[in-house]
Amino acid sequence: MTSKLLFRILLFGALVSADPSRASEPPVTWFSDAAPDRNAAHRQRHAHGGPVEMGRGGVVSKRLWLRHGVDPQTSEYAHGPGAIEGVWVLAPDGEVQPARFRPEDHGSLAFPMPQEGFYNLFMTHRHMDGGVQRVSVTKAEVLSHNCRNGHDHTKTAMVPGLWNDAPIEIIRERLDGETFHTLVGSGDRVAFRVLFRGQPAAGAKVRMVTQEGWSKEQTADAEGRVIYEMIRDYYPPWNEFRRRHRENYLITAEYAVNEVGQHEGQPYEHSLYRATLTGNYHPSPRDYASYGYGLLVGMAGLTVAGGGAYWHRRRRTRPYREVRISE
Amino acid sequence: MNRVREFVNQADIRRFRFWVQIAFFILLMYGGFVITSIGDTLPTFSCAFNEQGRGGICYLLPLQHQMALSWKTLAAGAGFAVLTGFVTFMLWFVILNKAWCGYACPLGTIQDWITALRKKLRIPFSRYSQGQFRKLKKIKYILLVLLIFLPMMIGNSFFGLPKLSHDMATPFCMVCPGRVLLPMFSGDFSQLAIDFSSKTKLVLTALGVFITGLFLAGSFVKKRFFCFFCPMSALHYVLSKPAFLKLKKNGDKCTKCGDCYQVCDMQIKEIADDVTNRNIMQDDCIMCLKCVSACPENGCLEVSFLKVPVLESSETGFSRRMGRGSEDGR
Repeated sequence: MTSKLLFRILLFGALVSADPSRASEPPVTWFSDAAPDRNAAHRQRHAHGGPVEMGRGGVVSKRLWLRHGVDPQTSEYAHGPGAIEGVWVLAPDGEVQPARFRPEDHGSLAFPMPQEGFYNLFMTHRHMDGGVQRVSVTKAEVLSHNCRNGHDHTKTAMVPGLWNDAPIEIIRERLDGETFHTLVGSGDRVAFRVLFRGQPAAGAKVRMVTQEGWSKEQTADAEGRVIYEMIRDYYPPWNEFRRRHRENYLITAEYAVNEVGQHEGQPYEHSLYRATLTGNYHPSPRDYASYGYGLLVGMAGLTVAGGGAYWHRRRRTRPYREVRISE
Repeated sequence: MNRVREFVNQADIRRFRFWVQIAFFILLMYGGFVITSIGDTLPTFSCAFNEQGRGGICYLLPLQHQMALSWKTLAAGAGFAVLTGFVTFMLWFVILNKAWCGYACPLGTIQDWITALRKKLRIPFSRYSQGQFRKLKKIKYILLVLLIFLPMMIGNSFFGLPKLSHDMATPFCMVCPGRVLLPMFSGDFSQLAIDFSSKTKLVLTALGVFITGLFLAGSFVKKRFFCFFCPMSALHYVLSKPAFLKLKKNGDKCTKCGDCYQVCDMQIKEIADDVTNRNIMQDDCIMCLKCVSACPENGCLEVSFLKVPVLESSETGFSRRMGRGSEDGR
C-alpha cells in the first residue's frame, strides 16, 4: 500500500517536473462518473455505459463530476473549475445543447439522455498565462443504452460523435465489430485520434494514465492517431475475480500552435491546447474463458450421446439364429 | 381458382420447404450483414449471440431479460415495454403459427440437414417408445417455466430467499445449443469457450457446450431431436389458439392408414389416431406439413390461413409425390 502511494507521488512528480513550464500550468481536469460520496452514489443505478440517475418521465440522466489531477484513482473532485468558456452536450443525433455546471454538488454536471447512443460532454477553458493562450477541452463520452429499446440500431449508432466547434478533442476509435455491449478489454489495441479544429493534430503529445498508475506517452502520427495496447493490471485472488471489474484510464493530449491573436485584451503569439478524455476497460475474456475446455466438454457430450445410441442399438440387435423345423 | 388449388395440392411440399428453410436460414443468420434486423421479438431461434450476422433476435432472450427486472422497475414503466415486446412477438407468431419451427427456425434447419446426411449414409433413425415420448415431451414445459421464473429471482426476492446472481440472467440461452452453434455459421466460435469467471457461469457455459455435443449426436440418430425439449415450441403451443395458420383434420375421411404418423418427424401419434378433433395440431407439431403431403385421402388433412384453405391432402397429390400415376390416369 505504502509502495503504491510512493509510486503515485513519484509519478506525479515526474510528470510535473518533466517540463519546467508545467509548474505554472493549470491542473489537468477530466470527467468521472464515480460518485464522490455515499449520498450521490445512492441516487445512481446500474446501466450499460456506467451509472445513471432516473430523471423525469423515466428518462435517465448522466451525472459527471469534474476532477483535477493526472491519476484517475486519487484525483480530487473540483469544486471550482476556473475560467469555463462553456459546457456543451453533443447528443447521438448530432444536436449540441449547452449544459450547466453545478459547483455546489461536488462540481457536477447532469444531463438527460433520452436517445440511444453515445453522448459527448465538452467543457472548454481558455485563459492567458504569461503571454501564452492556454485552451483546454475536457471531454467525456457516455453510452446511453437500454436493452429494452432493442438492438436494431446499434450498428449505425457506433460512429463516434464529432463536434466541429471543438478547438481540440480526442476521439476513441471503435474496435472491430464493436457494439453497445462490447467492453474494451486488457490486451485490446485501442486507437485514439487527436483532432485540432477538426483536422488531425500530427505531432500532438498524448499520454495515457491508467487507474493503477501505469502511464505511457506517445506522439500522434500524421493522422493524429496513437494506439495503446491496454495493459492488464487487475490481479485479484481468483475467488474475488470479477468479470465486469472496471479500470479507468485518462488520456491527455497537448498540442502547441504558433498563432497570433488576442484574448481578454492580451495579445499572444503562442497557444497551448490540451484535451482530456476518460474511459474504462475490463478484464479480457482470454483471462477467464477457455476454448480448450469447451472443446473437451463438447466432445464429451458428443461421445456420451453417440456412444449411448450405438450401445443401445447394439444391445437391441439380436444375432442371427437359424431355425430348423424338424419334419 | 380451382386450377390454382389443384396445383398447390399436387406440389412437392418437401422441395418447397427445403427452399423456404434455406431462405429463412440466410435471412436470420446472415441478414445482419446486409440489413439491420427484422425484429428482436422473433418466435424462432434467430440467435442474439450471432452478433454480426443475425437478421433478428429470438424472443426468448429479451423475455428472460425482462423477467429479471424488479417489480418496482416493471411498475415504473418497464412493464409497458414488456407488454409491447409480447404483443410484437404475438404479431409475428400468429402469421405462421408453429410453422416458425418447421420452416424458419435455423436450429431446426440444421437438424434437418443432419438428418439428410444420416439418410445419405444409409444409417437408420431411432424412435422413442410411446412411454418415453410422453415423459420427454414434458421437459419443454419445465424449461419454459424455469426460463421465466429463474430470471424473476434475480430482480426480486421470493419467500425471503436471497436474489440470484446476474450471471443467471439468461439461463436458457446459456444452455441452448443455438448459442454455441449458430454464431459459428458467421465465423464466431467464441461461444464454444467455457467461462471460468464465476461458478454460475462455469456451470452454465459447460452445460451449454455439453448439450451442444448431445444435440449433434442426438440429431444424427433422432429426427428433430432438440425440438422435443424446446421451450419456444411450448410457448407457441400455449399461444397457438388465435394463430392464422391452422392444421385441421376431417376424421370422417381418415382410414387410419398411418402414413401421416410414419412421416412425422416428431412421432405425433394423434395425427393418425385422432378422428374426432377437427383441430389436430399437437404441442410437438412443427407444422412441416409432411403429414398433409403423405395423406392419400381427399380433404382429410387441411391447412388453412384465416380460415381459407391453402393446402389439402389429395389422392392425386399423394400419387404424384410418390412418383406414381393416379387412378384417373394423370
